Amino acid sequence: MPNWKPRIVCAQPENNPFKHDLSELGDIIPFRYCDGSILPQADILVMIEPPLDWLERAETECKGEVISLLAMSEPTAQHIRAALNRLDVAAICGLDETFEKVESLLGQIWAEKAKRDLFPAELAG
Amino acid sequence: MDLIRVGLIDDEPQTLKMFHWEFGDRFDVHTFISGEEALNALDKGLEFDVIISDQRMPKMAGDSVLVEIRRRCEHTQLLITTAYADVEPLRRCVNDAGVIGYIEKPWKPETVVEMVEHARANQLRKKAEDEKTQELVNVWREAIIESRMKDVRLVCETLAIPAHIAEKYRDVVTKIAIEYEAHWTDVGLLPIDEDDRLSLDFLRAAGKIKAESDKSTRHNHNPKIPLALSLELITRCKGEKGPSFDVTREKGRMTLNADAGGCFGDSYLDPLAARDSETLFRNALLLLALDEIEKSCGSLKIDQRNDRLMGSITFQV
Repeated sequence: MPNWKPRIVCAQPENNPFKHDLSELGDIIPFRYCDGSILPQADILVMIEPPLDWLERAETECKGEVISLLAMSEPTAQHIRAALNRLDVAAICGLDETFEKVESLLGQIWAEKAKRDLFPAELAG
Repeated sequence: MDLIRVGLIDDEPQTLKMFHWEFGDRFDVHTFISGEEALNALDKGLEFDVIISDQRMPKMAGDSVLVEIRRRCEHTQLLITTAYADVEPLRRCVNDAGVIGYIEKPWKPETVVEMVEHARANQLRKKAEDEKTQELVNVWREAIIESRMKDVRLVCETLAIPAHIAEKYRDVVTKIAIEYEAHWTDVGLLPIDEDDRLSLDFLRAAGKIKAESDKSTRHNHNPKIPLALSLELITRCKGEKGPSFDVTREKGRMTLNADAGGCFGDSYLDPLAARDSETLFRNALLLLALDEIEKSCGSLKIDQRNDRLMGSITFQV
């Protein structure tokens, strides 16, 4: 898998862009909450400070296949409930921990990809 | 279809009763008044598809209970329920316990049903994929075993050992050797060139033993020695106890019984077994010993409880 790069959707507020650079971890697909509530397809979805009302209507077509991360300085229980129940969030972290957390979630993705590359036809579908 | 096995942990007896009353017909419900009680039940072997825990409880809080449950049960789906907005425990539930849903209290029955069924579907999907993966791993393992069996057959052919001894070796070694369960990350572990080297080393080990054995037989003029010698050599590297021998005499017959005592170790056929020279040596010895035993009209018994090799030869005297 030398040339494979994970697709990382980095959803963030339009007025307060995320200051950490995740580009060395994969191809970054920027998304602003004002762009709507349908998220593009990705391997990892990083939600930076999502507004609660956005979380409550957000949808992704690849639910179950994407690994989601909620990165917030002060999440509320409601944020966690919406992220967990609607977007199957796999981890919650502070803004400064985002890079490390994405890196660690990438380990899971690489493992899953390695498994599918090992048995491509058999595990397809 | 079997009912979904759901465990609820809550320190309010009334909540437990209500849960039973509301979902007892729909799910296989077990309730626990504390985290400790639930953990005890799991330690005694009770299994669940889904466990729901309240967060605020005396002694052990929900997040700590769920983290402990995750340590014990990898595949059980976990849900948290609470009426309070405690963020840190929720964060821990997600990050450390892998909780997949959050049910707000007071819960609506339809929400509970939806979340439990979603959790179960999630579990079944993962289980099906794990099973499929394991099936593929087993196919890979069998292919390696078949390829190693070709090496064993080649050794037999090269050293003029009857072909059926290779099958006998497979049968015996499968019963006495340590068996390693393969995981998908083990697939492709052994590069092809190393596999080739391994089969050559196995052939060399068998050739060397055969040459030594022939020399020893010529010197001692005693064709019966190889069984005892082989049994001793097979286990002398690994076994805690050395081999023991006893002789029984009846009219005109003498029987030598040998108990190799120790554990055999790894199989040459197992893709995950050790590949060191000691393992190859012991496996080659087993192959040759089986040939010797057959030539001497002896028998090899296997005590599977202890992975022990026991052999006997009867002589006419």
